[in-house]
Amino acid sequence: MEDEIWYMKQQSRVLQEFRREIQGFWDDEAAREMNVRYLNPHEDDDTQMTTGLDGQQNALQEAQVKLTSASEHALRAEKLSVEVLEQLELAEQDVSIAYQFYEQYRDYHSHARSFLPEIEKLIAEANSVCRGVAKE
Amino acid sequence: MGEVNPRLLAVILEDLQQELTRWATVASDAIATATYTQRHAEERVDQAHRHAAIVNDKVVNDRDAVENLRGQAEVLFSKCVEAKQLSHKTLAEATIALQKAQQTLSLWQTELEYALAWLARAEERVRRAEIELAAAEAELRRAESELSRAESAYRNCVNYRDDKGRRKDCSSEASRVRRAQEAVYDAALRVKAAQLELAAAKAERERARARVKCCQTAVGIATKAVEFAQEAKERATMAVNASERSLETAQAAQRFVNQAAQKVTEEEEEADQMLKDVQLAANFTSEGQHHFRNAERSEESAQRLRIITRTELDNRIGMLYELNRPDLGVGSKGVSGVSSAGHTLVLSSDGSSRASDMLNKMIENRGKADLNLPGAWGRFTHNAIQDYILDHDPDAEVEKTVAVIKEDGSIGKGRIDAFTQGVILDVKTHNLDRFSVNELTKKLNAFATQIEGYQWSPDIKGKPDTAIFFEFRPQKQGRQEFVEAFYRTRGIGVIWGSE
Repeated sequence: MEDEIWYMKQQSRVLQEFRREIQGFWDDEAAREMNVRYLNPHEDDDTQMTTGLDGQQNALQEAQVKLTSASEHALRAEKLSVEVLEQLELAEQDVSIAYQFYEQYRDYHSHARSFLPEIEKLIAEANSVCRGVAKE
Repeated sequence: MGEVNPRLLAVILEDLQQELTRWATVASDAIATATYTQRHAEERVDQAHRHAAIVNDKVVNDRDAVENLRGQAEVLFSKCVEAKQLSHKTLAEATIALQKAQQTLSLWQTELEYALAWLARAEERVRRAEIELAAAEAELRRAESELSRAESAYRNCVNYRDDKGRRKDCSSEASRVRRAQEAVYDAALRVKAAQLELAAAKAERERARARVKCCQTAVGIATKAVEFAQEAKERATMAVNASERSLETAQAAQRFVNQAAQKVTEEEEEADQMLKDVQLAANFTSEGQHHFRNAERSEESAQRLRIITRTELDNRIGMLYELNRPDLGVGSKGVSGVSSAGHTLVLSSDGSSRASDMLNKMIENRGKADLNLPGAWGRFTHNAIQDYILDHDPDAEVEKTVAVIKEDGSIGKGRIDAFTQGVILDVKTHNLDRFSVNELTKKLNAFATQIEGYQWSPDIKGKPDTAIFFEFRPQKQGRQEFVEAFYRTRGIGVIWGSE
């Protein structure tokens, strides 16, 4: 678009320069009327148009800067998302492993606890076997 | 101002018209490009909005996933903490139980040693009592035997009569009998005592045996208790290890979750920033749209003024030509030179009809031949060139409709500008300077595809040569060489028109 605006300005400049060049040759009443009624307003419109196009181009360049920045943020966000998924995968693996250890714990623990009353019973039994039996 | 030759002024005004027409073309192109650029920018903003929405959705999903896993990890962590506490408590209980079982075993092992020692002593007492009883019984038997012999001697003595019938003194024999009787009595007492001692010893031995037996049983049970306690402690130790590893792994999982949460926070910040940037881009694009609307309105207004100016200039030029050159030549059969705003076509053509017919028709319909009407100049150029070709090659075909095979394989229609001397000629009136390089490349490619479609048409015999006639030779540096090089690679000839 920059080329087109430049070319537009060039063409406008050529047109206005041409107008100035022919002023010496075409300076009758009709020329004055045409300049006042049409060509001067045309020049004003032309100037406003190029101003508008410049403004548009600048605004769109700013927009492009922001879009580029947005794209960079998106890339970083996507990279972070990948890292999040990696961390979550590691966390899930650890949760799974932790549950495996937890199940082992439950197994060992229940076994260990099942022995305790039996031990108490055996100790009591050992201590009661000789009850009533004379000693020296 | 001095007197100006009407013809010179007409030429000047025609040049002004040309400049205005060039301006119009360039302005139209600039607005077209601005329209395209604006639309393209808006599309990119729309795409960026959609992209931002996708990124934001992803962030929300990531956050949900993190929170979900954080909940799981916290539940797991609580379980593991409780497991660690319980496993340590159980290990302590198992340790105490083992100590108690070992103390019990130790107690009964000592008691067993005592009982065994007692039994050994009881056995010895029995052995000694049996020896004593045997000795007492032997002594009793000896005393009884002596008594028997003493009594026999005493009876013999009492019954003895010598030759004289006299008796003997038996007092010594009687004493012997009394001593023997006392000895028997003493021996009997000894036997009795020995028998009592043996019975007592045996009774004690039975008590000691019973004690040993119960102590052995207690030791056996206590040993089993120790084994159980050792097993319990071993299991409890393994439970402690498992619970601690479970807790460590759960903590590691929490660390990963926390790291993920941190990254999600960063991701949210990036997504927020992206959304802000997209919003700003949208604002700038709206601002661009505002500027573009102003430019477009100004261009429309300028174009309106240009059209009015052109009409006024037409009238003025017409009047000037009336003054100086009343006949433009239109209305005769041929066209030798025509000038339109921004264009000049000069051909040497006798007896041409297509171009002059066109001009006559325009005059007939509109009262004048206005080549600034949209598409008029291009059409006129085509007609003029076709006239020129027909003048030189009466067998040439112009505006020949042929079938064209499209890229998707379907059949369409095409119209060849001119087919002369075995060459397909396509006429282009574009201003090649107004395109960017990318646009120019696309245009050249489109032209080539078009003429190649004619070349391979099933309605065309063989494979004729092709050439493109460009009305305007580009002025930008290197463009002409670029165009020629481009078509050279496609085997298409290039014919340049005016400068």
